[in-house]
Amino acid sequence: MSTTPRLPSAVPGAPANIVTVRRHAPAVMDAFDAMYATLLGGGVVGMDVKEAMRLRNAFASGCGL
Amino acid sequence: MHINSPGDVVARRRAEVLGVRPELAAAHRRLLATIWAGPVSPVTLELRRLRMATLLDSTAALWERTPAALDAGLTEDRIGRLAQWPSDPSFSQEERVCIAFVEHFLIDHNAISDDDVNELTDILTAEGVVTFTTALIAWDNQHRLDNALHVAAKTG
Repeated sequence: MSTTPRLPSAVPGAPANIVTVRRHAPAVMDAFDAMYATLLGGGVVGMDVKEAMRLRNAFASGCGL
Repeated sequence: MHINSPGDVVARRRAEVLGVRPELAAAHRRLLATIWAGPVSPVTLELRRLRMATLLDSTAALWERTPAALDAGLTEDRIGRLAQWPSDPSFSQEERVCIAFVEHFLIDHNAISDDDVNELTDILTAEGVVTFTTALIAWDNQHRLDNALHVAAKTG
């Protein structure tokens, strides 16, 4: 699975990657990152379980990241 | 007497479920609000949300209507013709490209091509594509969560 971005970087001088591409919509990505941090950072589910879920999901969906 | 619509009931049930973790529910609401306030037409977003709900068999999401889309002119008549989007003349080129991308994503996301993304970018701009694809994964997750946790009873 290729991880070469299909959109250009939104950050002048920086290569295209998962961070710089998403900056095309900074408000949306800030809100997404805040939700993701909240999801990972608390609650009753341990980080070991969350990481196992994340990796299983990445494997099942063919995510190269 | 106020009578709740089925969509109101779904929204309340989902809020109750997500409310088990209030800070996460608030972050989820903020993400969706930011998406709706972004550069992509609310009509296009709503048609796409409902098409995803159909393909994922999310009864809960099909009951709901997003006010921003209705305010922008989306009608029940057009929603009723959504399954005919490839041939129905009421669907714009933007709507067709976006719905096609969604269907492709749900059926086989690894088969999405450079041409598919370029076509979407030509219509939405890069900012729109990031917004659109973020909305796509937000609703993909929400529809599956609704189904898994029985936010609304299935019909049929």
